[in-house]
Amino acid sequence: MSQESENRRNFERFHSEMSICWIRPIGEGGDFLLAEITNISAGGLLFQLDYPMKAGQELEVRFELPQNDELVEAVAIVRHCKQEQDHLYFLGVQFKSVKNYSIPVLMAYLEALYK
Amino acid sequence: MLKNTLKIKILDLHAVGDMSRINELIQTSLGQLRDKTITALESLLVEVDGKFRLKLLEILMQDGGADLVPLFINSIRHEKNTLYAKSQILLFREFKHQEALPALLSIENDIDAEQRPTYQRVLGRMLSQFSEQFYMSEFRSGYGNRRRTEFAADMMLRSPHADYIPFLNEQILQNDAGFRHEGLRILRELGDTTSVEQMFTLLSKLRIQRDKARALDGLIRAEHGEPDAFFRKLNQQAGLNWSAPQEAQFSESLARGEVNDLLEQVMGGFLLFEDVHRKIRPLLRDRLSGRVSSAFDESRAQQTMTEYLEELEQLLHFNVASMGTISQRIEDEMFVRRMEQYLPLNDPDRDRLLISTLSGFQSDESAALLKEYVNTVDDPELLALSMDALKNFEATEIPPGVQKFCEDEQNAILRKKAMTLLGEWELGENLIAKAMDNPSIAVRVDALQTAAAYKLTGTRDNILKLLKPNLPDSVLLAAVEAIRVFPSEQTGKSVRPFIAPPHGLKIRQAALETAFKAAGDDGLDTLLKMFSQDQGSKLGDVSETLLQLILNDDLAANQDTLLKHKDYFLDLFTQSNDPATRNRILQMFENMEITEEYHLRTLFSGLQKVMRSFKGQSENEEAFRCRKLAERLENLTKTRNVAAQRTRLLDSLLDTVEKHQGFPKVQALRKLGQNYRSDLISNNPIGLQRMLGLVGDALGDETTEVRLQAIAVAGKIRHPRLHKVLRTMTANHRGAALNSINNALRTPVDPIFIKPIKSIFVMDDSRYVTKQLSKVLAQAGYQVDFETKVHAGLARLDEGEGFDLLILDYIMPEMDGVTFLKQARTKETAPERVIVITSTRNQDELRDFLQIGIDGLMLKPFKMEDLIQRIRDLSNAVHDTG
Repeated sequence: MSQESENRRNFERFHSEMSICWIRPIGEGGDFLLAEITNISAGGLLFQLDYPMKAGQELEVRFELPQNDELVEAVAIVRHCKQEQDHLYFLGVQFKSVKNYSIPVLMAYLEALYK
Repeated sequence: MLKNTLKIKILDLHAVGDMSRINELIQTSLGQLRDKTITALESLLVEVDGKFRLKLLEILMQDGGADLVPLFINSIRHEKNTLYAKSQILLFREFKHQEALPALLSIENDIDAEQRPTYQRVLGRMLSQFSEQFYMSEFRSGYGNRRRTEFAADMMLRSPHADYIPFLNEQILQNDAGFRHEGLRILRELGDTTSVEQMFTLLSKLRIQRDKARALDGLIRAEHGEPDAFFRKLNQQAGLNWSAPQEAQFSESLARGEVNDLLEQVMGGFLLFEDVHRKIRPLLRDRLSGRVSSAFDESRAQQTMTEYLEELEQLLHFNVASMGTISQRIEDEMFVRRMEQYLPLNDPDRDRLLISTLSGFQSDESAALLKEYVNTVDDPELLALSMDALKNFEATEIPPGVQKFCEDEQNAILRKKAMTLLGEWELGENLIAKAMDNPSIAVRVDALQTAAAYKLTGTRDNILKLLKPNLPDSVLLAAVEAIRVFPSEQTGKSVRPFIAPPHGLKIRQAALETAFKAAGDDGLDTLLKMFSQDQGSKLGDVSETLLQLILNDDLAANQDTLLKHKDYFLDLFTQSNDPATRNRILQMFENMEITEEYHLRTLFSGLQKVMRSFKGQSENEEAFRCRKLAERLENLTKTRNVAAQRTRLLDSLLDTVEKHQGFPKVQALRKLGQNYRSDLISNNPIGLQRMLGLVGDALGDETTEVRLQAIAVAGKIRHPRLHKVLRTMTANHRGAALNSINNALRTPVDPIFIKPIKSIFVMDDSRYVTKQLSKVLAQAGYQVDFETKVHAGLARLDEGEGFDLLILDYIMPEMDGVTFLKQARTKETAPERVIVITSTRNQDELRDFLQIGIDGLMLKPFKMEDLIQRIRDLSNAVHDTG
């Protein structure tokens, strides 16, 4: 069993109603979009968004954390994207790096904040 | 040694960022020298920063041993950073050991408000994970500590679990009153057949304990004689059989005064509860030692035995009643028969226990058997028990045994119980009514109290008929109180005669309370008229009761009536020597919200009169309160007068503008401009609208002089609507007129006309941006609407809903934000205030916005809090319409 799937078991997924973050595909310019966080898991997030993204697409992600004056900057990669209905896509993304944080610590924060 | 070495190694590895080596080191160290490793880490955790501490705890949680629980708890308790504390709490829930739950509960009071939601979620999770074991362990820990057992029992009842039944089946057999009582309480709700069997065993134990306790109680209270004889009696009652050599040995021990071991052995035979054992031991020891006991020990032992016997009795009855309830639930039709067979005919409590059984097993058969008891037995105790038990059953007719006691003059307890049954069953109002005419005062009082307690409407007329001055005092008092539950004008009329002497004070107070609470719509007015006309001669001693009733009732609802009679209260204030009465009168007036001009004026002059009576004295608290109250009334009157004066002035100015044309209109407008102040229209929305209409019309007047004067007036009023008209006038005016318009527009809108932002329109092509922004803004209390298609957005603004703010995206596929805003403004449908949100950092594009005129620019991504703050600032700020 891989380390990742082990982690997945350790971190319980959760549902969150009002957790949002900004995302923008890296390298394409364009507008920042607001995405709704549906689940937080071991090393990544599940977003709801009204635009499709390709698997492998790298994203700039920005979170609000109450103890930070600035948004937390992260880079994530789209692992899968599934159309749920018209203009509604579920995007599974995995963090690659987070500025000033380690990924597990960020995840612990997100859980503390949104769960 | 290890402590320091491990710490240094971990810190060195941390310095080079090698977390995987730290992980390895800790796991190895835990495996080899666990206790020392935990001690070392405990000390290290307090020395490192929060982030590293959290990482170390994550590593420890991979081990997750129960012995790590205290270390985690300590760390959570002392973590200063709220978010790290929350993360640690979340991590803590990974413990799979039961010990984690009580440990988490132990820090409940150390958790601050910010951490509390996280703490409660984790606690909730753990409670659901370990709750059964936890509550059972709590129950067991409550041996000798009734409150702890009760708490655990409450929790078990709140979330029942099948595991509780076998556990409690065992616990009720423990020799502890708390275990038994609380165990039975839960089993009564949850128990099954196995519980009933255990409860039969408990019944046997309790009966044995009861018999031994009664015997011991007899010995304690009787003459005890020599130690040897007393010892033999004790032995016999304890049911202990000794061999001849043992007895000889005991005698020798007694002779030597060595009684401790003997006492323990003999007391063990009585199966006493632990606290009972402890409390009576000193007395028994003295008696076996041949010493004279202290009076304290004597009385304590007797008191303890009385309470112990009562407790055993309660347990016996509760046990059989609970067995009945369970058996009824599991539909064991034979249970009552089985209990009848089980209880020996010679058991002194047989009937009483059977009645308790029937009270638990609520079947038709049980009701019939209980009624049979009531109808056939003579023993008052059994009768009382049967009647109490019958309260749990419904009835359609009154058993003769109950009816018989309704008018029984001799037996007050049974009479009361019989009447209560009639009340519970809603039967036999005629019997209660008849009992009201009984020659016995006690029967009549009981009947009246029952009629009131169960609001027996059929007895109302009987009570009204009873209310005659020649009634005995206790009956009159009960009648005056009983009629209170039937509010009507007739009620008021019937009791008012009893408020005045010669009746006793208690009756008069009760009559006043009834008249106040139940005298119908005009009750209070009529009462106050009585008190006003009395001038304090007859009703003075109940005026305090009246004030208490007034202050305890709804003052706002009664205010008009009370103010109608304010002279009575002011006279009472002046005449009364009682500070409490005067305090209540002041309190009543102070708590009123008086708005009517007549009351403001007359109460003010009344208070002035009262204050004259303080003249020549230094100001005490009462005088101070009177002065403050009078000042408050005076200020209210003044404010109202000023507002009325302003309205009259504005009306007169506007009338003049309205009725004139040409030069007189110019004069009238000039006068309006000279006299206008914003307080003229504050709290006068009708006047404001009229003024805006008239000045707006004058701005479009054919006569240049009128228009020029109107421009000057509009410049003084500084209302956004007039500014808007002035801005449109700039296009078709030249020279001096244009200068006047520009001068008028230079002054900003008066802040009193600034409309706070309440409604927001969000225009962004992303559904998720509009959806999420709308959620956030709605949560912040704004009314929000949105569109993702620009043409639909423009159409939405065309509908003229009048949004207070537009939040506009710049980059949109069909039309950029600048064009959208220009189009909306051309059609005059754009909200006055605009915030643009954009990801662009292009300076030229940003300049476009600044040139077109907006109120705020937010660069994506931004914090939602910043957006809300920007809107709040805008809502409070003076809007520059220039």
